[in-house]
Amino acid sequence: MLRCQILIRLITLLSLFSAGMMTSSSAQPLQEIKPIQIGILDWQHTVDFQKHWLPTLHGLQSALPHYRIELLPLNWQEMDLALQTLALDFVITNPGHYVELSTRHALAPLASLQHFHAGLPLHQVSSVLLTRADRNDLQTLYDLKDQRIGAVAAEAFGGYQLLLDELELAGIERSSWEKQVEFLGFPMQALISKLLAGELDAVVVRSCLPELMEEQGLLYLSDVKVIAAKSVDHYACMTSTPIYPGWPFARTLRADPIVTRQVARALMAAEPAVFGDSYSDWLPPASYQSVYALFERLRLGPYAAFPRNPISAWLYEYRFYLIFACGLVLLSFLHQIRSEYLVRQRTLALEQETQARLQAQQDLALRQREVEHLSRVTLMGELTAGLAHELNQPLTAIHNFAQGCLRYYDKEDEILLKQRQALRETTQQIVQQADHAGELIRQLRRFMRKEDGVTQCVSLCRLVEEAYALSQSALSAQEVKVDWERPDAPDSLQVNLHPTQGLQILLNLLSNALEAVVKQPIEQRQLRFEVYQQGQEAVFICSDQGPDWPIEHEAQMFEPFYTTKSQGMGLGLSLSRSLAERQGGRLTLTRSKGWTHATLFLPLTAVAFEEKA
Amino acid sequence: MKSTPSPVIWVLDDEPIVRQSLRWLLESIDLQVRDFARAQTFLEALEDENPACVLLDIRMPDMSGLEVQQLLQTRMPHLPVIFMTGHGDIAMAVRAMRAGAWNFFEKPFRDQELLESVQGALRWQEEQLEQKQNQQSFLRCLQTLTPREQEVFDALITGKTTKQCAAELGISTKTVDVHRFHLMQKLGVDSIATLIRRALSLGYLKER
Repeated sequence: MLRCQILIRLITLLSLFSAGMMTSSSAQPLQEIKPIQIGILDWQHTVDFQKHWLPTLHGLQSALPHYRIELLPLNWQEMDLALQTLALDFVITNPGHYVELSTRHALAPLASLQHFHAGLPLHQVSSVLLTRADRNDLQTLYDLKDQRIGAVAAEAFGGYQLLLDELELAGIERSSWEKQVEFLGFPMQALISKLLAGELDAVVVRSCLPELMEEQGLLYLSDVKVIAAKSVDHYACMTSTPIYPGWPFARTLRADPIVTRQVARALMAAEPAVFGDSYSDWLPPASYQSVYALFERLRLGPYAAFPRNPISAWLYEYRFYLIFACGLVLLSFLHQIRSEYLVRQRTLALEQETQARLQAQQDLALRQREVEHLSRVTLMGELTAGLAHELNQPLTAIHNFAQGCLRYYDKEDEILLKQRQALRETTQQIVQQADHAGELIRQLRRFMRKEDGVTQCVSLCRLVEEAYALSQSALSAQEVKVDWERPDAPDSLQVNLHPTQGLQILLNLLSNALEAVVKQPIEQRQLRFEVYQQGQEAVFICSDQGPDWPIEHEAQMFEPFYTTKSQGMGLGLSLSRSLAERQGGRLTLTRSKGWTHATLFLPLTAVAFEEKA
Repeated sequence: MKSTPSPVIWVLDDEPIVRQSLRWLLESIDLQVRDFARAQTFLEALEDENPACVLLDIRMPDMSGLEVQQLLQTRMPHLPVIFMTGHGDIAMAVRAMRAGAWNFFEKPFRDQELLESVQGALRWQEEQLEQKQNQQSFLRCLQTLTPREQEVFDALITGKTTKQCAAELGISTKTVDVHRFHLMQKLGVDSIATLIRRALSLGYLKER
């Protein structure tokens, strides 16, 4: 909408001026007179625009008689639009605007304006920072902190932006500075009035303005002083910034090369235009590089789009993606850490668990061995009465033999000589009996010892024999009769087991059977042992005529601490079963026809089995 | 008595080694030993001649020591029985002693105690035998008394005086004295007190 309005105004202007020009030069043939349209920046709508600019360009009109020079006062937007629509041949504008336009439009400077007024170089651009002369505290840019500063507008090139560049070069933070600046608008003279009135501590104004005001009698330069003054060679005004070149005269894309050449020549050849104290003329184009550099520093005009810090700008532009990506990375990192932590925790837990399980297993094995041992001790206790008797026999015999011998030794030599052979035989008997007792003790010890499970190949019959021998006295003490028909080849049933544990199982069974039959009248106190082969197993059955028990209690009987005895731990059967199972065998308890059968199955050794086969 | 045959010790135990060692021990003090493993053979072989003593094991396979003791009690009440056991059992010991056992030993026993006990038993048996012989001779002597002397004897052992006897029998005290003198001579006693003791030991008064 705005664009349209500007366009309409531009067209109106153009047509108006064309009409004006036409009337002024109607004497010449129409077809020969071509217009040269020159756009001039005039954002303040200068009242005497034509009067102001025509003298400067009067040499141009006279050098190009076949062309009609048209001056168009345009503001920034109008200028931009006119260049876009190729409505202009040449452009005269301030250096800042020129730099900005040059990035969008093909412009080339032909000349730079030089304008002196009362010896002051008004064509050149710079800023001066003023304060009252009595403000001794303000010397450099750094002293301006927290001071009230006045300026015309933020966009003003000579009036503000140049100083901003100085501040940045001095390393002063732009954002903090901007807070203390008041933009009061044009005219600039008002700023100086306010400064002098004490309403402001410092003001930014165009260079040469104070000198100009003094010349006009509006200001005494002694009332003010410059902050951060710079001295520039051949520059007559006070300044706080570097000096930038004056207004350029630039050609556009539309300008005809021949005309351009003629224009350039005319500009260079023209006499300076003089009015009163001031004069102006055109010089060959100055370098606008310093303006470009300034704009680049200030990120103005063509550089506005360029970030000050490309990396940070890029980062800023893609900040959402970056934040997202960072978030992802962070998340995955956290996930990594968490999973690492979890893995470590789990590993630790597993290690501890393994440790605990190992410990538990060791404890269990230890406990098992203790229980086994305890059970053996208990079993021994049950058999002790018998064993005492067993030991008594040889001890009594030894005692009697020895005492008899002593008595013989007290007799006369004659009798002693006769008894010599008998004495010798008796002594032999003593040795035999001592050996017998010793063997008994050894057997006992072997049984009681806490042994580790080293399995051996043993004959089941021999083992039964040993268990029977150990319990025989206990059995006979209770007048229990044992019916055992030993097999023909007792060594044929070889089983692989730990002898002590095997013995323990058998003794347990015998002890249980004994306990069972003791409850019965003497004629029923009978046990029956059977050993035979069944398939790949050796079977031992210990049967007794003990009291009846409900068959459904079988499982219960094998449970630890289940006991029917007054002096028992209830470990015998459960332990025997676990021992049997550890040897690869089984243990069952059945009842039939008034007999209880405890049956032990043990796998035959491969050798024994092969031999049989 | 010393001329009597040497005493016999009967040993009954099922353990051969115990028998063997006992034999050795007992023979070392010049005792005759006859040992048996089974009660049956022992009972068959048992003779009632010599001074003897039985060493019995309480626990034996076919017949227990206590059963053997019971049999012996009826057959030969004067035969001392000494028990041996490997199982110290007070109840059993009490039973055995009540049934008239001479002693009760727990294996292993001290040989000295066993031997002393054996010898004590033998001595006791000798005394028993001696006493038995005395009684038998006393009884034989009693049978040699005349009927009148018998009457006087019966009266005297109930503690009656000469006068009471005379009054009871209707004879003079003098005649009683003569009968008394004769019967004391026949019975071989030198005082009324001895007479009464002998009669008592025979259980004579109880019969009355």
